Amino acid sequence: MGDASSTADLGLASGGGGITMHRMSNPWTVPSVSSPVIGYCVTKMDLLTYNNNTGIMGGLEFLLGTLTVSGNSFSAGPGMPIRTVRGTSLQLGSMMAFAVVKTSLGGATTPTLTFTYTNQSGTTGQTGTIVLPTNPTVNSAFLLNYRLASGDTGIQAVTNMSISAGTSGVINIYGFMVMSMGGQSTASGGSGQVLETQSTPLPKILCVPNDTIAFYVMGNGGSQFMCHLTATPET
Amino acid sequence: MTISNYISIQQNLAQGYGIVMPQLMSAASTTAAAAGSGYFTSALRINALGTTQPTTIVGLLSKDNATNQMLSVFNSAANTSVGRITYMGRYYRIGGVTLGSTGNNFTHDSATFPVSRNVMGQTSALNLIPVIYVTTALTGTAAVFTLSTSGSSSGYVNQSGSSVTGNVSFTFPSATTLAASAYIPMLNYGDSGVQDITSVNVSMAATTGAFDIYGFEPYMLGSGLVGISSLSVHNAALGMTFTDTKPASAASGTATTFEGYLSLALDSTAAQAGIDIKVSNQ
Repeated sequence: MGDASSTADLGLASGGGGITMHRMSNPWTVPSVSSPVIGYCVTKMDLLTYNNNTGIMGGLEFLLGTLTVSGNSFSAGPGMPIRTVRGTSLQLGSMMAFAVVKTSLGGATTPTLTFTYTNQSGTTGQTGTIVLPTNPTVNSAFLLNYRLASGDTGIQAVTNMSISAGTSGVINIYGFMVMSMGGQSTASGGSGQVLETQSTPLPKILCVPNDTIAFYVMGNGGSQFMCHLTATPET
Repeated sequence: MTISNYISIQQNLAQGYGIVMPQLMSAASTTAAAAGSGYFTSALRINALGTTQPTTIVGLLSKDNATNQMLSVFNSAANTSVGRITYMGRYYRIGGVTLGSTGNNFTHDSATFPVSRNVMGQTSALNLIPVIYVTTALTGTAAVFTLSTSGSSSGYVNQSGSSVTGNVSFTFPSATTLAASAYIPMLNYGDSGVQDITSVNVSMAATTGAFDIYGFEPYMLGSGLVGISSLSVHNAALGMTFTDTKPASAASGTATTFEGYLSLALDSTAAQAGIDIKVSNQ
């Protein structure tokens, strides 16, 4: 897959997310299954991008909320699900959360995005803000981890979003569960990071039909991005 | 839940009790080390957004207001034609030194060292790797200093908490050593770290020049960045430490501190990226 460049983050000191990120535009949807299979466990995910000195991540992504800039109209997403993790049913909380530009913004000069959320412990009504660059382009991803309230590390659900300026565009907030990650040292080939997901301390989460496995790249985008994914059926 | 085993790390992360820290790090042109300057050409790897070396340093993304954060995964990549060692850890500024004249030119940071934290159930003074970071480029002369007073009295506190008079001189590798260059000053035979630095005697001055001294607390070591490659250390149980990575406490005052990578390589200008994951012990 290949994308156009996204818009650079403003940095923490300016109210931004702290790092420029890009969501690749072609996530993968977990296919349907038949009984007795209930889903898949990803056992291996190899990632490679044609970007120099960057990082790449793949993982489960859950829509938490959508803001249509025109009219400041918010629509709640399904939120983080309950899943069995190493034998225990758990309410998931986001490992990472991103505000992703679904449709490029217009008329938005360094707008402040305000979001209300339920934190990792189930506390409702928490709020965070992030200052976005002017008119960010589609697939620009802004890290919210460092814009959460003091002490908060994850999000279970987003209950409201609003923006201080802008006339057009759409922003989604996603909760992201990292399955595989790696460093990419050079664009000239040969060194995409290969991680076997089973061997890391990253959580092993069952992927069920219609789940989204998405990919994020550090930096302004990826001219090329490749993934090889191996999954085993779970019964 | 309280972290008691490998599975509980995964379950805490799944519930959002963790922090994933993607990092794009700054790079600056530096002057290579030589035998008299500790052999290791070093580099502070810090946040690319907001950092203007050497005057403005912004540490890596780190959510220090979380309850506690223990490093579980460390990953790094660099595009470099030579091998490198990369640590992830925390820098504590111990003080600064001016090189424009001879004598005791060390000014200690306002915080009192050592810095301490709970390690494996016990409050422990941290033994730090000394790192000097050139804040003002040298001109005129390759300055020389030792970790001592001009009267050869104690200059640092070693890993055992003993005051030590440094007897190994450090000579900057060039009379025009660049700002943002970093080096590991050699300690006396048998010493492996510092808890504090108290004096720096400049025995040969430059026309201009200044440096800061940091103590570096390594969380994890990634040896293996050879050529155009990447590395990953992803076993929480086998890291160098599995302890809270929030800033350690100074004996008095608040230490000037930030997280970063310490890169030891001949080629210090290569850009570097990384991803780190910390997990909270709830």
